[in-house]
Amino acid sequence: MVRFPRPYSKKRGKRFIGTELRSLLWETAFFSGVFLVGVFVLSLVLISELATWHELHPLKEFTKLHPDRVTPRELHGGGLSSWIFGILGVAAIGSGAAGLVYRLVRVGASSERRSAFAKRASSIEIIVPGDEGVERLPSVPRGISLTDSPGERLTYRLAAESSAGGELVGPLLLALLWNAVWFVLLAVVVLGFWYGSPRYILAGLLIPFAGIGYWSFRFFLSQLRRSAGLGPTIVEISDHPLYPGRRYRLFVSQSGRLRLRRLTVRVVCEEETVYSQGTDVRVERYEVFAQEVCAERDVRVDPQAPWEQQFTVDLPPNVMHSFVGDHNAVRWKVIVSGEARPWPSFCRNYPVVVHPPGLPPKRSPR
Amino acid sequence: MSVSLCREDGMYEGGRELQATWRVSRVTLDSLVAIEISVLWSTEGKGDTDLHVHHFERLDEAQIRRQGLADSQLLRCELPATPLSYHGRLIRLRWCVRMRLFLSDGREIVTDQPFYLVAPRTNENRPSSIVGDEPRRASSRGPSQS
Repeated sequence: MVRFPRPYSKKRGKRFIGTELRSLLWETAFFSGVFLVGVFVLSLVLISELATWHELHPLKEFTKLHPDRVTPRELHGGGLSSWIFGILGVAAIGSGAAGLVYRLVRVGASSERRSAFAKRASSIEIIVPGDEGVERLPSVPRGISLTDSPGERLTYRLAAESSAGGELVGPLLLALLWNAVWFVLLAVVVLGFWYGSPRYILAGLLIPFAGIGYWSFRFFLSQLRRSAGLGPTIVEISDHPLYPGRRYRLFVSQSGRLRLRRLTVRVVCEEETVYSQGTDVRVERYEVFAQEVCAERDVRVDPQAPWEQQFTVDLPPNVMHSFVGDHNAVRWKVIVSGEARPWPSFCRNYPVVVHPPGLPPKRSPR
Repeated sequence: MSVSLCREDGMYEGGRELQATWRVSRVTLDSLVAIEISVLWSTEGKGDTDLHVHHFERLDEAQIRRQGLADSQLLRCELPATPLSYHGRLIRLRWCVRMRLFLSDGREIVTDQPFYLVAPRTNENRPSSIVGDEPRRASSRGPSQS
Protein backbone atom coordinates (compact mmCIF):
# COMPACT_ATOMS: atom_id res chain seq x y z
CA MET A 1 0.00 0.00 0.00
CA VAL A 2 1.33 3.43 -0.92
CA ARG A 3 1.96 5.61 2.09
CA PHE A 4 1.49 9.31 1.47
CA PRO A 5 3.84 11.67 3.22
CA ARG A 6 2.25 13.49 6.10
CA PRO A 7 3.76 16.63 7.59
CA TYR A 8 2.39 15.84 11.02
CA SER A 9 2.10 12.40 12.54
CA LYS A 10 2.12 10.73 15.89
CA LYS A 11 5.47 9.55 17.19
CA ARG A 12 5.48 5.79 17.58
CA GLY A 13 8.27 5.00 19.97
CA LYS A 14 11.60 4.36 18.29
CA ARG A 15 10.13 3.11 15.06
CA PHE A 16 10.57 5.11 11.91
CA ILE A 17 7.33 6.20 10.32
CA GLY A 18 8.98 6.91 6.97
CA THR A 19 12.26 5.75 5.57
CA GLU A 20 15.51 7.21 6.74
CA LEU A 21 16.27 8.40 3.25
CA ARG A 22 13.04 10.38 3.07
CA SER A 23 13.78 12.06 6.38
CA LEU A 24 17.24 12.98 5.12
CA LEU A 25 15.82 14.58 1.98
CA TRP A 26 13.18 16.51 3.89
CA GLU A 27 15.64 17.73 6.49
CA THR A 28 18.05 18.82 3.77
CA ALA A 29 15.30 20.69 1.96
CA PHE A 30 14.18 22.30 5.23
CA PHE A 31 17.62 23.53 6.24
CA SER A 32 18.28 24.77 2.71
CA GLY A 33 15.01 26.69 2.86
CA VAL A 34 15.91 28.21 6.22
CA PHE A 35 19.28 29.26 4.82
CA LEU A 36 17.77 30.87 1.72
CA VAL A 37 15.02 32.65 3.66
CA GLY A 38 17.74 34.03 5.90
CA VAL A 39 19.61 35.30 2.85
CA PHE A 40 16.42 36.90 1.58
CA VAL A 41 15.58 38.64 4.86
CA LEU A 42 19.13 39.83 5.40
CA SER A 43 19.26 41.15 1.85
CA LEU A 44 16.06 43.11 2.42
CA VAL A 45 17.44 44.66 5.57
CA LEU A 46 20.89 45.42 4.16
CA ILE A 47 19.64 46.93 0.94
CA SER A 48 17.11 48.98 2.82
CA GLU A 49 19.76 50.19 5.23
CA LEU A 50 22.55 50.82 2.76
CA ALA A 51 20.31 52.64 0.34
CA THR A 52 19.94 55.44 2.88
CA TRP A 53 23.68 56.03 2.91
CA HIS A 54 24.66 58.95 0.73
CA GLU A 55 28.04 57.45 -0.08
CA LEU A 56 26.50 54.46 -1.88
CA HIS A 57 25.47 55.97 -5.19
CA PRO A 58 26.16 52.81 -7.22
CA LEU A 59 23.82 50.79 -5.03
CA LYS A 60 21.16 53.42 -5.39
CA GLU A 61 21.59 53.38 -9.13
CA PHE A 62 21.40 49.58 -9.20
CA THR A 63 18.34 49.31 -7.01
CA LYS A 64 16.73 52.57 -8.23
CA LEU A 65 15.71 53.18 -4.65
CA HIS A 66 15.17 56.66 -3.29
CA PRO A 67 14.20 55.94 0.27
CA ASP A 68 14.39 59.60 1.31
CA ARG A 69 11.53 60.32 -1.03
CA VAL A 70 9.07 57.56 -0.37
CA THR A 71 10.22 55.49 2.58
CA PRO A 72 7.44 54.91 5.06
CA ARG A 73 8.36 56.03 8.51
CA GLU A 74 8.16 52.55 10.01
CA LEU A 75 10.74 51.20 7.55
CA HIS A 76 13.20 54.03 7.80
CA GLY A 77 16.78 52.80 8.29
CA GLY A 78 18.30 52.40 11.68
CA GLY A 79 15.05 51.43 13.38
CA LEU A 80 14.46 48.61 15.79
CA SER A 81 12.70 46.56 13.12
CA SER A 82 15.83 46.57 10.96
CA TRP A 83 17.90 45.21 13.80
CA ILE A 84 15.34 42.53 14.61
CA PHE A 85 15.01 41.38 11.01
CA GLY A 86 18.78 41.56 10.48
CA ILE A 87 19.45 39.37 13.51
CA LEU A 88 16.72 36.98 12.44
CA GLY A 89 18.23 36.78 8.96
CA VAL A 90 21.72 36.05 10.28
CA ALA A 91 20.33 33.47 12.69
CA ALA A 92 18.42 31.78 9.89
CA ILE A 93 21.52 31.68 7.69
CA GLY A 94 23.64 30.28 10.51
CA SER A 95 21.14 27.67 11.68
CA GLY A 96 20.34 26.62 8.10
CA ALA A 97 23.98 26.21 7.17
CA ALA A 98 24.86 24.44 10.40
CA GLY A 99 21.91 22.09 10.13
CA LEU A 100 22.75 21.34 6.53
CA VAL A 101 26.39 20.58 7.29
CA TYR A 102 25.49 18.49 10.35
CA ARG A 103 23.00 16.43 8.38
CA LEU A 104 25.20 15.92 5.33
CA VAL A 105 28.28 14.94 7.30
CA ARG A 106 26.36 11.90 8.53
CA VAL A 107 25.67 10.66 4.99
CA GLY A 108 27.59 7.46 4.28
CA ALA A 109 29.33 7.35 7.65
CA SER A 110 28.15 5.23 10.51
CA SER A 111 28.33 6.50 14.06
CA GLU A 112 31.06 3.92 14.76
CA ARG A 113 33.15 5.26 11.91
CA ARG A 114 32.74 8.86 13.06
CA SER A 115 33.67 7.83 16.56
CA ALA A 116 36.75 6.02 15.26
CA PHE A 117 37.76 9.11 13.27
CA ALA A 118 37.37 11.32 16.32
CA LYS A 119 39.39 8.90 18.43
CA ARG A 120 42.12 8.70 15.83
CA ALA A 121 42.24 12.48 15.46
CA SER A 122 42.65 12.91 19.20
CA SER A 123 45.48 10.42 19.35
CA ILE A 124 47.57 11.77 16.47
CA GLU A 125 51.14 12.38 17.49
CA ILE A 126 53.37 14.90 15.82
CA ILE A 127 55.93 12.29 14.86
CA VAL A 128 57.17 11.82 11.35
CA PRO A 129 57.00 8.13 10.36
CA GLY A 130 60.34 6.47 9.97
CA ASP A 131 61.74 5.86 6.54
CA GLU A 132 62.49 2.21 7.16
CA GLY A 133 59.72 1.07 4.86
CA VAL A 134 60.65 3.60 2.21
CA GLU A 135 64.23 2.38 2.15
CA ARG A 136 63.11 -1.23 2.07
CA LEU A 137 60.79 -0.89 -0.90
CA PRO A 138 61.40 2.37 -2.73
CA SER A 139 58.62 3.65 -5.00
CA VAL A 140 56.16 1.15 -3.55
CA PRO A 141 53.28 2.79 -1.64
CA ARG A 142 53.36 1.85 1.99
CA GLY A 143 49.59 1.54 2.30
CA ILE A 144 49.61 1.95 6.07
CA SER A 145 46.22 3.62 6.04
CA LEU A 146 44.80 0.62 4.19
CA THR A 147 45.46 -1.79 7.04
CA ASP A 148 44.63 0.25 10.11
CA SER A 149 41.07 -1.01 10.14
CA PRO A 150 40.52 -4.63 11.19
CA GLY A 151 37.74 -6.49 9.46
CA GLU A 152 34.77 -8.27 10.95
CA ARG A 153 34.93 -11.37 8.74
CA LEU A 154 38.51 -11.24 7.46
CA THR A 155 41.71 -9.67 8.69
CA TYR A 156 41.52 -6.19 7.15
CA ARG A 157 38.70 -3.92 6.08
CA LEU A 158 39.76 -1.93 3.03
CA ALA A 159 39.10 1.78 2.74
CA ALA A 160 37.31 3.19 -0.29
CA GLU A 161 39.24 5.49 -2.60
CA SER A 162 36.82 8.41 -2.31
CA SER A 163 34.04 9.05 0.13
CA ALA A 164 30.48 9.79 -0.88
CA GLY A 165 30.64 13.22 0.69
CA GLY A 166 32.99 14.52 -1.98
CA GLU A 167 30.37 14.04 -4.67
CA LEU A 168 27.95 16.31 -2.80
CA VAL A 169 30.13 19.35 -2.24
CA GLY A 170 29.94 20.69 -5.80
CA PRO A 171 26.16 20.34 -6.26
CA LEU A 172 25.57 21.70 -2.75
CA LEU A 173 27.69 24.81 -3.32
CA LEU A 174 26.11 25.40 -6.72
CA ALA A 175 22.57 25.10 -5.36
CA LEU A 176 23.17 27.25 -2.29
CA LEU A 177 25.18 29.99 -3.97
CA TRP A 178 22.91 30.29 -6.99
CA ASN A 179 19.74 30.36 -4.92
CA ALA A 180 21.30 32.78 -2.42
CA VAL A 181 22.08 35.19 -5.26
CA TRP A 182 18.57 34.68 -6.57
CA PHE A 183 17.07 35.64 -3.22
CA VAL A 184 19.27 38.74 -3.04
CA LEU A 185 17.99 39.80 -6.46
CA LEU A 186 14.46 39.01 -5.32
CA ALA A 187 14.98 41.33 -2.37
CA VAL A 188 16.13 44.07 -4.74
CA VAL A 189 13.03 43.62 -6.88
CA VAL A 190 10.64 43.53 -3.90
CA LEU A 191 12.15 46.67 -2.42
CA GLY A 192 11.94 48.35 -5.81
CA PHE A 193 8.21 47.70 -5.95
CA TRP A 194 7.89 48.78 -2.33
CA TYR A 195 9.59 52.13 -2.92
CA GLY A 196 7.67 52.76 -6.11
CA SER A 197 10.59 52.40 -8.52
CA PRO A 198 10.20 48.89 -9.95
CA ARG A 199 12.86 47.15 -12.05
CA TYR A 200 10.89 45.16 -14.58
CA ILE A 201 13.88 43.73 -16.49
CA LEU A 202 15.42 42.35 -13.31
CA ALA A 203 12.03 40.98 -12.29
CA GLY A 204 11.74 39.27 -15.66
CA LEU A 205 15.19 37.79 -15.35
CA LEU A 206 14.28 36.27 -12.01
CA ILE A 207 12.02 33.77 -13.77
CA PRO A 208 14.73 31.97 -15.82
CA PHE A 209 17.13 32.34 -12.91
CA ALA A 210 14.56 30.59 -10.73
CA GLY A 211 14.49 27.75 -13.24
CA ILE A 212 18.25 27.33 -12.99
CA GLY A 213 18.02 27.49 -9.21
CA TYR A 214 15.30 24.85 -9.19
CA TRP A 215 17.36 22.61 -11.46
CA SER A 216 20.51 23.02 -9.33
CA PHE A 217 18.63 22.23 -6.13
CA ARG A 218 16.92 19.25 -7.70
CA PHE A 219 20.27 17.98 -8.98
CA PHE A 220 21.73 18.33 -5.49
CA LEU A 221 18.84 16.37 -3.98
CA SER A 222 19.18 13.63 -6.59
CA GLN A 223 22.90 13.35 -5.82
CA LEU A 224 22.12 13.22 -2.13
CA ARG A 225 19.48 10.56 -2.74
CA ARG A 226 21.96 8.58 -4.75
CA SER A 227 24.70 8.78 -2.11
CA ALA A 228 22.42 7.99 0.79
CA GLY A 229 20.33 5.33 -0.90
CA LEU A 230 23.08 3.06 -2.13
CA GLY A 231 24.27 2.06 1.29
CA PRO A 232 27.85 1.32 2.28
CA THR A 233 30.00 -1.27 0.52
CA ILE A 234 32.32 -3.26 2.78
CA VAL A 235 35.35 -5.02 1.36
CA GLU A 236 37.59 -7.15 3.58
CA ILE A 237 40.65 -9.15 2.70
CA SER A 238 42.48 -11.97 4.43
CA ASP A 239 45.93 -10.39 4.25
CA HIS A 240 47.69 -7.24 3.15
CA PRO A 241 49.94 -6.32 1.35
CA LEU A 242 49.41 -8.86 -1.39
CA TYR A 243 52.13 -10.94 -3.05
CA PRO A 244 52.09 -12.32 -6.59
CA GLY A 245 51.47 -16.04 -6.84
CA ARG A 246 49.48 -16.26 -3.64
CA ARG A 247 45.85 -16.84 -2.87
CA TYR A 248 43.67 -14.55 -0.76
CA ARG A 249 40.15 -14.52 0.50
CA LEU A 250 37.93 -11.54 -0.23
CA PHE A 251 34.68 -10.60 1.49
CA VAL A 252 32.25 -8.11 -0.05
CA SER A 253 29.08 -6.77 1.53
CA GLN A 254 26.62 -4.35 -0.04
CA SER A 255 23.96 -2.71 2.10
CA GLY A 256 21.00 -0.53 1.29
CA ARG A 257 17.67 -1.11 -0.36
CA LEU A 258 18.65 -2.03 -3.89
CA ARG A 259 17.66 -4.04 -6.88
CA LEU A 260 20.77 -4.52 -8.91
CA ARG A 261 20.69 -5.59 -12.51
CA ARG A 262 24.30 -6.61 -12.27
CA LEU A 263 26.91 -6.64 -9.53
CA THR A 264 30.56 -7.24 -10.31
CA VAL A 265 33.65 -7.51 -8.16
CA ARG A 266 37.00 -7.28 -9.92
CA VAL A 267 40.64 -7.19 -8.94
CA VAL A 268 42.38 -4.81 -11.29
CA CYS A 269 45.91 -3.62 -12.01
CA GLU A 270 45.94 -0.25 -13.72
CA GLU A 271 48.69 1.78 -15.30
CA GLU A 272 48.32 5.51 -14.76
CA THR A 273 50.36 8.16 -16.51
CA VAL A 274 50.29 11.93 -16.20
CA TYR A 275 51.54 13.95 -19.12
CA SER A 276 51.50 17.51 -20.36
CA GLN A 277 49.85 18.33 -23.65
CA GLY A 278 50.31 22.00 -24.37
CA THR A 279 49.11 23.79 -21.28
CA ASP A 280 46.87 20.89 -20.22
CA VAL A 281 47.82 18.13 -17.83
CA ARG A 282 46.22 14.85 -18.84
CA VAL A 283 45.87 11.55 -17.06
CA GLU A 284 45.56 8.26 -18.90
CA ARG A 285 44.77 4.89 -17.41
CA TYR A 286 44.91 1.41 -18.82
CA GLU A 287 43.93 -1.89 -17.23
CA VAL A 288 46.77 -4.33 -17.71
CA PHE A 289 45.26 -7.03 -15.53
CA ALA A 290 41.69 -7.71 -14.47
CA GLN A 291 40.30 -10.71 -12.64
CA GLU A 292 36.53 -10.87 -12.31
CA VAL A 293 35.76 -12.68 -9.10
CA CYS A 294 32.01 -12.11 -9.15
CA ALA A 295 29.41 -11.21 -11.77
CA GLU A 296 25.88 -11.71 -10.52
CA ARG A 297 22.64 -10.62 -12.14
CA ASP A 298 19.37 -9.54 -10.53
CA VAL A 299 20.68 -9.04 -7.03
CA ARG A 300 18.26 -7.89 -4.33
CA VAL A 301 19.56 -6.07 -1.26
CA ASP A 302 17.41 -5.30 1.77
CA PRO A 303 18.37 -3.21 4.81
CA GLN A 304 17.84 -6.30 6.98
CA ALA A 305 19.71 -8.64 4.64
CA PRO A 306 22.74 -7.11 2.95
CA TRP A 307 24.31 -8.95 0.04
CA GLU A 308 27.38 -10.78 1.35
CA GLN A 309 29.78 -13.05 -0.49
CA GLN A 310 33.25 -14.49 0.03
CA PHE A 311 35.59 -15.07 -2.88
CA THR A 312 39.03 -16.43 -3.51
CA VAL A 313 41.53 -14.33 -5.41
CA ASP A 314 44.57 -15.88 -7.08
CA LEU A 315 47.23 -13.38 -7.97
CA PRO A 316 49.34 -14.56 -10.93
CA PRO A 317 53.03 -14.97 -10.12
CA ASN A 318 54.38 -12.68 -12.83
CA VAL A 319 52.49 -9.45 -12.26
CA MET A 320 53.98 -6.04 -11.53
CA HIS A 321 53.99 -4.79 -7.99
CA SER A 322 52.40 -1.49 -6.94
CA PHE A 323 54.49 1.43 -8.06
CA VAL A 324 54.14 5.18 -7.61
CA GLY A 325 56.39 7.73 -9.28
CA ASP A 326 55.95 11.44 -9.81
CA HIS A 327 54.14 11.03 -13.14
CA ASN A 328 53.56 7.29 -13.49
CA ALA A 329 51.96 4.68 -11.31
CA VAL A 330 50.89 1.06 -11.29
CA ARG A 331 47.91 0.72 -9.00
CA TRP A 332 46.05 -2.33 -7.76
CA LYS A 333 42.50 -2.09 -6.58
CA VAL A 334 39.35 -4.04 -5.87
CA ILE A 335 36.45 -2.55 -7.83
CA VAL A 336 32.86 -3.16 -6.78
CA SER A 337 30.41 -1.88 -9.37
CA GLY A 338 26.71 -2.28 -9.77
CA GLU A 339 23.95 -1.32 -12.13
CA ALA A 340 21.22 -0.39 -9.73
CA ARG A 341 17.61 0.66 -9.98
CA PRO A 342 16.06 3.04 -9.10
CA TRP A 343 19.47 4.47 -8.19
CA PRO A 344 22.09 5.16 -10.85
CA SER A 345 25.00 2.80 -11.34
CA PHE A 346 27.81 2.95 -8.83
CA CYS A 347 31.47 2.03 -8.84
CA ARG A 348 33.61 1.97 -5.71
CA ASN A 349 37.34 1.41 -5.67
CA TYR A 350 39.31 -0.11 -2.83
CA PRO A 351 43.06 0.26 -3.33
CA VAL A 352 45.40 -2.51 -2.29
CA VAL A 353 49.17 -2.72 -2.38
CA VAL A 354 51.00 -5.55 -4.13
CA HIS A 355 54.59 -6.14 -3.09
CA PRO A 356 57.14 -7.92 -5.24
CA PRO A 357 57.58 -11.62 -4.47
CA GLY A 358 60.40 -12.93 -2.36
CA LEU A 359 59.82 -10.74 0.66
CA PRO A 360 58.66 -12.04 4.03
CA PRO A 361 54.97 -11.28 4.54
CA LYS A 362 53.95 -8.87 7.24
CA ARG A 363 52.56 -10.30 10.43
CA SER A 364 48.84 -10.33 10.87
CA PRO A 365 47.48 -7.82 13.41
CA ARG A 366 45.55 -10.66 15.05
CA MET B 1 83.67 4.65 -23.43
CA SER B 2 82.13 1.38 -22.39
CA VAL B 3 80.27 -0.10 -19.44
CA SER B 4 80.28 -3.86 -18.87
CA LEU B 5 78.06 -5.67 -16.40
CA CYS B 6 79.23 -8.63 -14.38
CA ARG B 7 76.31 -10.76 -15.56
CA GLU B 8 75.93 -11.57 -19.22
CA ASP B 9 72.15 -11.81 -19.14
CA GLY B 10 71.94 -8.45 -17.40
CA MET B 11 69.41 -9.71 -14.85
CA TYR B 12 69.89 -8.72 -11.23
CA GLU B 13 67.75 -9.64 -8.28
CA GLY B 14 66.50 -6.90 -6.03
CA GLY B 15 68.62 -6.41 -2.95
CA ARG B 16 71.69 -8.03 -4.50
CA GLU B 17 74.96 -6.42 -5.51
CA LEU B 18 75.65 -5.06 -8.96
CA GLN B 19 79.21 -5.02 -10.25
CA ALA B 20 80.19 -3.31 -13.45
CA THR B 21 83.38 -2.08 -15.06
CA TRP B 22 83.72 1.05 -17.08
CA ARG B 23 86.46 2.38 -19.26
CA VAL B 24 87.10 5.48 -21.31
CA SER B 25 89.18 5.12 -24.43
CA ARG B 26 90.26 7.32 -27.33
CA VAL B 27 89.91 10.42 -25.17
CA THR B 28 92.89 12.26 -23.77
CA LEU B 29 93.19 13.24 -20.15
CA ASP B 30 93.44 16.91 -21.05
CA SER B 31 90.08 16.92 -22.76
CA LEU B 32 88.21 15.50 -19.77
CA VAL B 33 86.71 17.71 -17.08
CA ALA B 34 84.62 15.19 -15.15
CA ILE B 35 83.06 11.74 -15.32
CA GLU B 36 79.77 10.81 -13.72
CA ILE B 37 78.66 7.23 -13.17
CA SER B 38 75.17 6.57 -11.93
CA VAL B 39 72.84 3.64 -11.44
CA LEU B 40 69.31 4.78 -12.01
CA TRP B 41 65.84 3.87 -13.14
CA SER B 42 63.66 5.89 -15.45
CA THR B 43 60.24 5.52 -17.01
CA GLU B 44 59.40 5.65 -20.68
CA GLY B 45 56.08 5.72 -22.43
CA LYS B 46 53.18 8.06 -22.74
CA GLY B 47 53.58 9.82 -19.42
CA ASP B 48 56.20 12.34 -18.42
CA THR B 49 59.49 10.76 -17.46
CA ASP B 50 60.23 9.78 -13.89
CA LEU B 51 63.88 9.35 -13.01
CA HIS B 52 65.50 8.27 -9.80
CA VAL B 53 69.22 7.89 -9.20
CA HIS B 54 70.08 5.05 -6.85
CA HIS B 55 73.87 5.31 -6.92
CA PHE B 56 76.04 8.23 -8.04
CA GLU B 57 79.77 8.82 -8.37
CA ARG B 58 81.53 11.83 -9.81
CA LEU B 59 85.20 12.01 -10.65
CA ASP B 60 86.60 15.49 -11.11
CA GLU B 61 89.65 16.38 -13.12
CA ALA B 62 92.18 15.70 -10.35
CA GLN B 63 90.72 12.28 -9.56
CA ILE B 64 90.72 11.33 -13.22
CA ARG B 65 94.37 12.25 -13.53
CA ARG B 66 95.18 10.29 -10.39
CA GLN B 67 93.41 7.13 -11.59
CA GLY B 68 94.25 7.45 -15.25
CA LEU B 69 92.30 6.10 -18.18
CA ALA B 70 94.31 3.04 -19.04
CA ASP B 71 92.66 0.59 -16.67
CA SER B 72 89.05 -0.40 -16.30
CA GLN B 73 87.36 1.01 -13.22
CA LEU B 74 85.06 -0.97 -10.98
CA LEU B 75 81.58 0.09 -10.01
CA ARG B 76 79.88 -1.71 -7.14
CA CYS B 77 76.57 -0.99 -5.50
CA GLU B 78 73.77 -2.78 -3.72
CA LEU B 79 70.56 -2.66 -5.69
CA PRO B 80 67.23 -1.86 -4.03
CA ALA B 81 64.38 -4.32 -3.89
CA THR B 82 62.12 -2.14 -6.02
CA PRO B 83 60.99 -0.89 -8.46
CA LEU B 84 61.42 -3.90 -10.67
CA SER B 85 61.94 -3.58 -14.41
CA TYR B 86 58.61 -3.44 -16.18
CA HIS B 87 57.35 -3.34 -19.74
CA GLY B 88 53.70 -2.38 -19.81
CA ARG B 89 51.31 -0.73 -22.17
CA LEU B 90 51.65 2.89 -21.07
CA ILE B 91 54.68 2.61 -18.82
CA ARG B 92 58.10 1.05 -19.23
CA LEU B 93 60.47 1.10 -16.32
CA ARG B 94 64.09 0.50 -17.15
CA TRP B 95 67.23 0.34 -15.06
CA CYS B 96 70.61 1.33 -16.42
CA VAL B 97 74.16 2.25 -15.57
CA ARG B 98 74.68 5.71 -17.04
CA MET B 99 78.04 7.20 -17.74
CA ARG B 100 78.41 10.87 -18.60
CA LEU B 101 81.62 12.49 -19.79
CA PHE B 102 82.13 16.23 -19.52
CA LEU B 103 84.64 17.44 -22.09
CA SER B 104 86.69 20.58 -21.86
CA ASP B 105 85.04 22.08 -24.95
CA GLY B 106 81.65 21.98 -23.20
CA ARG B 107 80.32 18.85 -24.87
CA GLU B 108 78.82 15.96 -22.96
CA ILE B 109 78.84 12.31 -24.02
CA VAL B 110 76.34 9.92 -22.46
CA THR B 111 76.08 6.17 -22.67
CA ASP B 112 73.61 3.83 -21.01
CA GLN B 113 74.05 0.18 -20.17
CA PRO B 114 70.59 -1.20 -19.42
CA PHE B 115 69.95 -4.11 -17.10
CA TYR B 116 66.92 -5.78 -15.57
CA LEU B 117 66.02 -5.66 -11.92
CA VAL B 118 63.94 -8.75 -11.16
CA ALA B 119 62.31 -10.21 -8.09
CA PRO B 120 64.38 -12.57 -5.98
CA ARG B 121 63.83 -16.18 -6.96
CA THR B 122 61.91 -18.18 -4.41
CA ASN B 123 61.54 -21.92 -4.21
CA GLU B 124 57.96 -21.81 -3.03
CA ASN B 125 55.38 -23.11 -5.43
CA ARG B 126 51.94 -21.69 -5.76
CA PRO B 127 50.33 -22.38 -2.41
CA SER B 128 47.02 -24.15 -2.13
CA SER B 129 46.24 -22.50 1.18
CA ILE B 130 44.88 -19.02 1.51
CA VAL B 131 47.14 -16.37 3.00
CA GLY B 132 45.85 -14.90 6.23
CA ASP B 133 43.13 -17.52 6.54
CA GLU B 134 44.33 -19.09 9.75
CA PRO B 135 41.64 -20.47 12.09
CA ARG B 136 40.30 -17.74 14.27
CA ARG B 137 38.88 -17.98 17.71
CA ALA B 138 35.25 -17.13 18.23
CA SER B 139 36.19 -14.48 20.75
CA SER B 140 38.25 -12.59 18.21
CA ARG B 141 35.28 -11.92 15.97
CA GLY B 142 33.99 -8.40 15.92
CA PRO B 143 35.23 -5.05 14.73
CA SER B 144 36.30 -3.90 18.18
CA GLN B 145 39.08 -6.50 18.32
CA SER B 146 42.17 -4.92 16.89
